[in-house]
Amino acid sequence: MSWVSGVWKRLRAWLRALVAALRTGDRKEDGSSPGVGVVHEGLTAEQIEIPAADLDLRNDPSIISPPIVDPVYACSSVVVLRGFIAHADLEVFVDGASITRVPGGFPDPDGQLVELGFQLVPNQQVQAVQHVGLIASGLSQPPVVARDYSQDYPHGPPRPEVNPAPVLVCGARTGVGNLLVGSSVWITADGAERGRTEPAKEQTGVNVNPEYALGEEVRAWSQFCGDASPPSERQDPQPGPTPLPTPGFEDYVVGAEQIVVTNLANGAHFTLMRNGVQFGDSSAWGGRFLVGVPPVAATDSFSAVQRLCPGDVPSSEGKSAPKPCSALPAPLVAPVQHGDTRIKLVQHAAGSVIRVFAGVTKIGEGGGDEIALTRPIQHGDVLYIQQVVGSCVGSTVRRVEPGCVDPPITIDPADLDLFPVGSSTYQGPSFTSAGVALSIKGTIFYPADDDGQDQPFRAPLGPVPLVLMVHGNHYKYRDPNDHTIEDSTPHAGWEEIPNHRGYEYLQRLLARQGIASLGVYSNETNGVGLSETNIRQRAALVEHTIQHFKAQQDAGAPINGVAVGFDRVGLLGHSRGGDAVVLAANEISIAGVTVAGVITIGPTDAVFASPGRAVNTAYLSILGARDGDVRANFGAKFYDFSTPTPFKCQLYIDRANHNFFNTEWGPDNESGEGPVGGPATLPRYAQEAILRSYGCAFFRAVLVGHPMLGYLDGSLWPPNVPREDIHISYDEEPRDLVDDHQQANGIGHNSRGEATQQLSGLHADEYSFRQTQATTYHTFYGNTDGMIATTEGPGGVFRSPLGPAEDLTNRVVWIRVAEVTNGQGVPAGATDFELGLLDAGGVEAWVDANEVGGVPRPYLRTDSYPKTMLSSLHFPAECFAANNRELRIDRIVAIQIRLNRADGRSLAFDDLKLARRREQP
Amino acid sequence: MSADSSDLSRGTPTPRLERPRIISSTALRTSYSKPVIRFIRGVEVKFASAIEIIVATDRPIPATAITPVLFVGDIEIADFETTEDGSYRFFAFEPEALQDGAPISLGWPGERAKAQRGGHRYEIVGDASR
Repeated sequence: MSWVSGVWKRLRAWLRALVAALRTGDRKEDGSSPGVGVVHEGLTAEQIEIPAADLDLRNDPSIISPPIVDPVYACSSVVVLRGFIAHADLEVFVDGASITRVPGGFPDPDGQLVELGFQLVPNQQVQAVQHVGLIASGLSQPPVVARDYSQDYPHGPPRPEVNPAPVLVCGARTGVGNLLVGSSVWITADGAERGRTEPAKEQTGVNVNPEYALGEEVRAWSQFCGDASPPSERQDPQPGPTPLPTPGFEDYVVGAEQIVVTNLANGAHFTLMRNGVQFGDSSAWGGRFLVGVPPVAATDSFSAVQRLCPGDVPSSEGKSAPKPCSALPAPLVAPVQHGDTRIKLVQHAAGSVIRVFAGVTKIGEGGGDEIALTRPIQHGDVLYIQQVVGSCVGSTVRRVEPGCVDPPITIDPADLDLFPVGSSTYQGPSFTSAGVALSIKGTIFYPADDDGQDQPFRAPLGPVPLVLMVHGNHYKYRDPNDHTIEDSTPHAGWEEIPNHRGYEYLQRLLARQGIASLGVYSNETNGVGLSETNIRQRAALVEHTIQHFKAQQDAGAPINGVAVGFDRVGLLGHSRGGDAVVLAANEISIAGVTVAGVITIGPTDAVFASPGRAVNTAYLSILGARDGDVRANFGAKFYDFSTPTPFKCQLYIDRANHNFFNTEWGPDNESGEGPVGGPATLPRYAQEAILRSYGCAFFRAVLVGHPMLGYLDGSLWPPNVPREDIHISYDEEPRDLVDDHQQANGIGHNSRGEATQQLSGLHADEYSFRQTQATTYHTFYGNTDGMIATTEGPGGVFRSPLGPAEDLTNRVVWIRVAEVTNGQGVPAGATDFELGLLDAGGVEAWVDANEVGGVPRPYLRTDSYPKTMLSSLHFPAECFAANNRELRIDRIVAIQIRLNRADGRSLAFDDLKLARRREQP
Repeated sequence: MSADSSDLSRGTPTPRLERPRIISSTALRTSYSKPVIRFIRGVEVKFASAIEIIVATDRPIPATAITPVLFVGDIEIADFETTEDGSYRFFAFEPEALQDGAPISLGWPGERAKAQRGGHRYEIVGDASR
């Protein structure tokens, strides 16, 4: 498997960066959304660019893709269509009846808004067709059902986001995102409306008149179905840069009909010149602006200048010229897996037509960033994707070999933005634990009527879940002029380190999503040796803090009116705080309080002898493979201990260290990270991105009931995380177990009591996967038993019978696997294995592990602690059937493991089970 | 899959930060006017006295999750607190286990062999009360 790395901002923002709002006529713009940091991302499908001339691609002009209808809610009188060919006619059907047919313009940047002439009602079905000349596509499938928006947004439309921000003095246009399609959006400055757009797309531009002035308070608002959203975050217009940047241009080729002007200031007015003659002018919300132009000739040139305030000196003139057609690259494609009915592009030329071939046969032609296909991707398909700009046909194509499993990168669980965020500090009575007085204090974040300190709680929400975040041991004081200089004792002029504020970046996101949270001040437990007493004091802080908030609420005096649903409490603990929250989850006994989920990050395990190290709620264990402090990754034991009720998840993250999840904790070498060697530490922003995405996914799933488990089991990927570094273990109830090696029946029988077989030179036995130096395999750090298999030569098979034949239709085989390391080093090159199904007729089919993600490599540490850490792989039964059409997946009698590599390496296996295929939202 | 057991893993890896060197150590038989409380296997235990070993180091003990322990011979003392002057007070609640003349060193849990040696030896030099 090859891994192609790129540098991305948020995928969603990136896709928006190729797509943006309709300005007027054929002018479109875009702004990059407020970034959360640049994170690199792996595209797992095999992707190479090859000359189109090497292929005999059959461009059947009669095959064009149906447009894509974006999800739409009842009350909307518009729909947004994407994925169509530039200038195609777009025809919309509602409940099977043709409603309208309009010219489509360009699909970039973010599709075309089509007026229906009436408001949709719940359950109406919307479809669309595109027409190119006399050729019509098929109807878009499946129909998009107009839902009642209050099913997804029971507390009103989400709050608009000014995007990009900040707005600038004299800005004349503002981008607003996070809108429901068909909503009204307007801008106010000091309470007076300055501009309005309706109906809106998800990201929409609003022209502002008069322009912004210094000192004004700018807000965006929206309304849908008669319901008002909360206001956007307040914007204070900032003076523009002086001088204004010179506008730039993205590369375009001869024949292009859409060009992209870049470097535009927020709200600036720019003028575009073609061959020295004014072509047009417009205001822009900043960043990029897509302009429709007549087909560009080789002799054409474009230039642009921008200005903000009248009378200001305009920017320098940015100039550009077209590239030759031969410079048009093949588009870049997001992960593709078997069964997909669309492909997503992560890079393509603006306004281009995208052709998709399976082999030499065309299976799609459209435009924009996502193309519907005329049939699903099948096993064995090799895709070739080509782009065409006007008369310029790309000379190269992107070759993609879809995997059986290559999960899509979708929206970020952290992106849900519903409510303004209030915050405050809290202080309760002190209490004594083990003779030490401890303070109940910290910070609280919660959904509020508006952003800011001590804003009123958003009362119509009713009781909201509460998450307590508990930091671990760290220095207590630092030099205010250099935060890397820290100590456990105060020095003159130093400040106390607010260790409890290190997770505010997650607290703010949770508040936006309707979840209150506390940053629990625990400094009074810092600066002491690791002991059971210390962990119990930290756990006592958790319990007493909950008691304090509950008592306040019971007395009718919650802080800022924050109403907490104590039946939905979550805990997050880092380092010693992780140790403490596991303890607290087991021992808290407060009437009316239910701990529903626990996250630990690099926890210690100081309460060795206490029973109940299992987490008996939903559990997420986050472990840095590069952790130089808690190097034993004790969270792996907690994961193994814990019951999957309702689920448990482990993220083992290459290059992640111990400290960077807390923004207040210093750099590696100053704050507890030893020199572990190996690849460079994952940057702080990337580690924060992981906690943002998975923390939100976890607490949204556990505390609010949002359908987020796909992220936690690895069948969906957030866009902002370093995918190639994250290795997921996941388990959930109910468990249809085949073998977890915990029974005292040896390797000869599986968990179902069926007799296993070792065939063709395979040798396997059961071993402890605990960290014990005395055994042959001393590189395990969990707390389970499993199987280690080796083979005398490629082809050794382990067979685990199911008993009576089972129907595996729509089911998935799960297994945890790891490459066993000897603890001294990591050999070059990956290894893998095959998983097989055997049916009652003796027919077998195999799927290579590298078709479902592959066996992760042990993380290379040069400090003698590379670990054998299990991760889950999921094999959909349909992938086996695709590999051998003779296989009867409705009559499977055994699951088989075949070691087919010649490298002689040992593999560790555990938790072979069957599960239902998860329906993705 | 899960198996609930008590797997102590005391030999597991510990931080690799450079440990501070002991500049001085003073062992005092200390009695408490107010008992010192510790949790031992989930039970609160009160101690009226203990051996306190005050250790001054050439640099701060790192404020890590896994903290160094004081070795007195083969005995590990993990329980310490930071004093106001930046020294460390290690508590030994089972003084009978400590042998006079035993070498004192700082190290990581379970890694006595790697602990620093500096010629410091365990010797009670007096009594104190707090």
